[in-house]
Amino acid sequence: MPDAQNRQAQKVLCAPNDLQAFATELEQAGRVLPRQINAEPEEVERGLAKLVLTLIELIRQLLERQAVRRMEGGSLSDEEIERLGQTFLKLGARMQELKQAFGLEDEELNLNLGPLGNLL
Amino acid sequence: MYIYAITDHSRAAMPATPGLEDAPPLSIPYREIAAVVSAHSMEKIAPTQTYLWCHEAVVEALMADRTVLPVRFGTVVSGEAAVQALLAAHYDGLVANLKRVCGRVELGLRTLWDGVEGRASTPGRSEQVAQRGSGMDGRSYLLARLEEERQTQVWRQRAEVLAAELHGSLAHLAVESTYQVLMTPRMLLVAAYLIERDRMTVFQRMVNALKITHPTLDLLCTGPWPPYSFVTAGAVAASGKQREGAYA
Repeated sequence: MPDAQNRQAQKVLCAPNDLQAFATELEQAGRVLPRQINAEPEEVERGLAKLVLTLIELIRQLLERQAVRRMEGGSLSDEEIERLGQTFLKLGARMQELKQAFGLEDEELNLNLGPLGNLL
Repeated sequence: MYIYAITDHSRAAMPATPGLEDAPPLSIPYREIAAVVSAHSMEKIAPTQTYLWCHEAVVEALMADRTVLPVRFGTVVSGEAAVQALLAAHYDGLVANLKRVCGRVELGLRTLWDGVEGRASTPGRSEQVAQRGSGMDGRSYLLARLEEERQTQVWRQRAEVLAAELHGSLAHLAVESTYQVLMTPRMLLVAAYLIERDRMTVFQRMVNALKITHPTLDLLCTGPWPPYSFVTAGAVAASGKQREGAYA
């Protein structure tokens, strides 16, 4: 597509020699933007699982961070630290099983949270 | 009808650039503004490279001799009456936006850095979970998470300071600007600048200067683009609802 390539070249005002790295990063960035749910019958289950697991991952991370902050602040006993840590490990293991069951990779559960950055 | 852009009402002829499906763009005026549209027959307008560049080519051809508010790719309405109704409903906002961007273009900047190596180097969560089987205790897990959070915070602060320095060097050359830090761990900065057309050379010189003073960064500056990043919500809402099946 020579015409499109020419147009692209005309738009570049300043660039390094290798633009592939930018293409790769933009592709990665695009994966965390909200997408339409694929309503094809064979994909809808996977699409909904992705949505649900992403939400669970978001909540899990929020709870983990809260626990870490409380531990850092000294408001948790040793027993509570151990119990919470074990709970999060078990939750993480269960999430891994669910991801594997639906054929989902970690990157697929990533979410752009705007000013807060990406979930993963 | 497919909408490409909202423009000021110009008596200049429509550019010869063909629209989607080679349909000629038409101008539908309303008071002091106009919508540039073309007829189409597609059930779904897929965001292929061909169609995207076709849309862009029409918008840029319009930029040559009129002020343009670019409309998001894939925006369609039922017909001329619907276009007129949209323009009427959002007239004041569209006029205000056209005034804001008159004589100005958008330049984009993307910056890659190598700071990703400084990000938390503790094992990822998945690996930690996998270590559960080898007897990792809860306390060790939370301590590892605490260290990960600390390293991530330091890394993020480094990124924000560096991004602010880069952005600050360019923002004062622009009328308006937007930026985002760490869209990905490697994409330090993604920014857009609304600049007067006659400041493009000065802007480009500054980017080249930043390349020299920051040799470890990869800077990609592109443009001039229609002011996609600087059209405010009212004008975007006026660009029409997307028919089911069009891509966001």
